[in-house]
Amino acid sequence: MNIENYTLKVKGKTLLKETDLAFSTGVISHIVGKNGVGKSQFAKDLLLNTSKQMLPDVQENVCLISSASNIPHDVSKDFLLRFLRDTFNEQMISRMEQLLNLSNIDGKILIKHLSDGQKQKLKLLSFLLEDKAIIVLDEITNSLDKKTIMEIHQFLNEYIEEHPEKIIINITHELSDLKAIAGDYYLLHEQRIVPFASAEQLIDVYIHEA
Amino acid sequence: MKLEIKKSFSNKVVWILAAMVMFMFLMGYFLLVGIDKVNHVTYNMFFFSSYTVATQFGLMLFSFVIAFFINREYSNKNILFYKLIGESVYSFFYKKIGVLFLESFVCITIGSLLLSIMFHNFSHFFLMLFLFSAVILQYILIIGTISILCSNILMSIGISIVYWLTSVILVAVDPKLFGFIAPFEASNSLSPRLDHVLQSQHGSLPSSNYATILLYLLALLAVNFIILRFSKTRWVKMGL
Repeated sequence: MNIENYTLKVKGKTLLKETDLAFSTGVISHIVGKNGVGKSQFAKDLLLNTSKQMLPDVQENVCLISSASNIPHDVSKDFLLRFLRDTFNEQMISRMEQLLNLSNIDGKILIKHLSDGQKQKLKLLSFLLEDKAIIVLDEITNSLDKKTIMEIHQFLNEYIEEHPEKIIINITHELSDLKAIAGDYYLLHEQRIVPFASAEQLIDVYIHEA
Repeated sequence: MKLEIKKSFSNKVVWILAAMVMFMFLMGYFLLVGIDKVNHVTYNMFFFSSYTVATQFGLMLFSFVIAFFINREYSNKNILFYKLIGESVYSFFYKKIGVLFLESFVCITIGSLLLSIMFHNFSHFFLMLFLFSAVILQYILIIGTISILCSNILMSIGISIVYWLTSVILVAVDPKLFGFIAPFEASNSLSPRLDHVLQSQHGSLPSSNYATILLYLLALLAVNFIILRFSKTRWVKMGL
């Protein structure tokens, strides 16, 4: 996926300016950046195309998994899975259940009563069923316990291995994501998305940013 | 519909609707006994008083639950999930209002049935069932349409109340000119006609009244459809 000279303005503020974007299939592209630099706005723009610079084949093939995309909290896991089975491929659902280790989640209680990690796993399962070519993950490991973060890392590593045709963009604050999931590394800095050769180099620049 | 029915139960929307309908009938009774000082409440008086409560206070009673059922999906950031399961702004909205109306209709039917059984009189059961259903349906359509345009529940309720008060004032100013925007309003022609029909035991409303109500509901649906047509992108944006 290549977009040249990409500029993103939100409410008059320029968040990204004339930057070139290139994300490869089969790897997870991590984008790191400080608060307020426009990471989440970029994620939303991939879906909404408010910048009018996304090609239709990008906009139509984006799946956004973030705090802006939730599953209903007023149903139970069992109901949700039954409901999803009516729409999506049974085999795909079973495989995701297995990869995300969902069997230990109580199926009877409402999702709103589950832990944040359990909700996040159900959200990943639901939205990935859409089977879109470009998957945008925005802070999906934020505020989760270490065990769940490790499970999600493992899941993403297995998922990209099984789906090498996908482009996965992981927008994150969690530097542990960069070490646990191999991929391409980008820093959103001074209105540009800058590629780095390694996670270490990116982390070094990131933690010394003004 | 399955998801919406499930949601209406887990969010207690169906019980709130039932409580509101019950309150509507109870208030109809207590207004007769407490304010009008009626010693012997008849079947017709009870129905007419409850109908008056539904038309005069219904928007206040039902606005919260209707706005909640729609606006909650925005505040919970569920719109992308609805897109995921193949819903559009139309199917999202019509399934929501379908469930709200269906549940309200069941509650109204039970309420009217109990009232008719209590008085051993079914002479106006179907007429009142039709009128109560039409009154509730107009609230669902008006508040629902406003709610789909506002991401904030307080804003939806506020605008619904302002719309309602404006229509009441306009009908009071000139019933002939503005009568169509609030046909159930007490100062409109339908209300005294209904009172007369209820007094007469076996009569019914003139067919022109039925036609006006049906046209009014169709007009609301048409306005709603046009608004939804222009809200496709807004619906997704507000849900993010």
